[in-house]
Amino acid sequence: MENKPVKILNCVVVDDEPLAREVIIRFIERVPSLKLVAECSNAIEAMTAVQQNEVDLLFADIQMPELLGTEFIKILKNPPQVIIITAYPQYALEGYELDVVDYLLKPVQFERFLKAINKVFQQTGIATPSVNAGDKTETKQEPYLYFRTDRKMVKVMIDDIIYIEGMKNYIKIITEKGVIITKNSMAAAEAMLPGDEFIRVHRSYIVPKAKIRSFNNETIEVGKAEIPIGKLFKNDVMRSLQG
Amino acid sequence: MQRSPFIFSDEPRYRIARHLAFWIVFFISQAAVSLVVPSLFNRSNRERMFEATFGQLLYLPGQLILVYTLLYFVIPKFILKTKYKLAVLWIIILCIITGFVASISYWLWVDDIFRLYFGINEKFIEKKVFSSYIPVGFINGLRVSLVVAGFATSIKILKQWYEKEYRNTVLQKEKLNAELQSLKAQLHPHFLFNTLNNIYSITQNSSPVASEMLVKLSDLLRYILYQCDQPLVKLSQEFQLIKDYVALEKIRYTKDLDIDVSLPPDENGYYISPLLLLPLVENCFKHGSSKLIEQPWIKIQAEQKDGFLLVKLINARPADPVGDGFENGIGLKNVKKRLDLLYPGRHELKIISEPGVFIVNLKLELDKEQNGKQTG
Repeated sequence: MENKPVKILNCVVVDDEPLAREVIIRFIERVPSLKLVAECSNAIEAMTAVQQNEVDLLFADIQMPELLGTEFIKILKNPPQVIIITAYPQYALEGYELDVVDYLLKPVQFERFLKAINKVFQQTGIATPSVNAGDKTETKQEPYLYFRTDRKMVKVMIDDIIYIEGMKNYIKIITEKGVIITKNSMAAAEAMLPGDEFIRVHRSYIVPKAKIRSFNNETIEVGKAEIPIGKLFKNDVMRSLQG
Repeated sequence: MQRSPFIFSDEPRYRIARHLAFWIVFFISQAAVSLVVPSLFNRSNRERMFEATFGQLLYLPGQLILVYTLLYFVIPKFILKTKYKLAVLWIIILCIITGFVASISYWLWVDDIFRLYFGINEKFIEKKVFSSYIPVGFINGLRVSLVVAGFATSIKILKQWYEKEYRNTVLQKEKLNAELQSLKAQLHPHFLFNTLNNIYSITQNSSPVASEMLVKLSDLLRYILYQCDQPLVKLSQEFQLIKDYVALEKIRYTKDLDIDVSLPPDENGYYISPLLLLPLVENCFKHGSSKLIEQPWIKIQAEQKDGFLLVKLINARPADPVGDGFENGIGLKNVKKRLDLLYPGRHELKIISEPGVFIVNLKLELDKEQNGKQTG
């Protein structure tokens, strides 16, 4: 792949609020391929700035005194690329009619800002500089539940459950790590567990489908246990296990 | 508005009771009418009562066919869908069928009934050919069937109209309320967001956590102010709202609180009614984060299956929840009400409340388009 030179984009920031400008300026400073050439507090100043400098990218607020940002963008000849930054979601549609690159809502997060900048690079056809937003992929943790045993909450990994047995006033949860006895009902256990991974095979038994080692018409084998299939549950169990 | 379950409930026991009551009242009224109307022949009251009652029973099969086909086929399929020409055609066909069924039952049973009552001997009523029974059976059967069908149809249509009115008024009320709320909120939203942005700017360097919170709070407020006036919003937006809300709530509590949120991205572009799930999440935090619980725990999990959204919310609660008014909380009540109004027949809500744990399982049909298939 040929190595295109990374172009530096000249930026102008227009906003009537100084603190709002600061946010964007700080963001611009964090991106190596962006360079701030002017900051303006109104549209007239910005007009001059755009005429005097070679400006590639304009960050503009919409609602400013004297001249609306949208009006300002309309009257610019050879307008640079525009990213609108505003507190008003209701201008979004108008913004897109003006052919702006992106429409950001205040307060803007850096990640969102970068996304907009990447759009600019894609549209100008320049090689996108590698700017990392810092990957924020959620680390997927193993699913778990808590059960209340005698005066203690016990964390149970769902994958560890071998089966659940209902007794009169409590349920027994048989796991790879031991047996937990809790004062809940079978209905509660069933409602807590993921419905497509577990199956109620009997009035007093729930088993994880993945741990079923074998089954016939009357019983199911999970772990070392043999569990009866209830008459009322038989049809559902067979349909689910064979299907 | 309190509505009598005997009239409006869809539960089988109410429906059966309702229909039985209708037929019994109808029979009694017919018998009563036959007593009042002077008879052509000089018959005793007893005879006339007998004739009216058994005359009715004789034509019951025809009546049942006419009434129930009208109620569950012609009315919902044609009349309510304004296909009037087809409806008329079907009514004519039904009348003919009813007349014939009436003729058959007349031919089969009329002699037996008279014999039963008058004790007439066999030779007097030797069985005649079917065709000779047709005219009387057809006309009489159709006449009594049409009377009962008329009553049943009016009740059905009146009920339908009432249901619609009821839903409209409730929806209207909700809408007015929502509009009022959003008016209140829209007084100075630009001031609000610009100010939030300024605080964001100030805290950005000094306190990244604070500025992160500000962004989430702004997103949340903006969503509630601007998106929620639409009947449906993108599921991904609703999920984002919940994530923002959870992130903001998290900071309020100690590190002991174990929060497990799993809201997978919606790849199918489904739509859902806005702010439907939030009250359920709020409820979890309200009760699941109590200091009385040794291990506060909240699990919020959603998944999609064949166009349905399955939401599971679990939170720990004290072992002896002494009247925390949980199940009857205003939040849950509102969710139930909204589900009944917005997703009639398209949702299942299961709430399990036990010592130590509270579970909500919600299943609802998602909309594929923004202007959805909402009825009403």
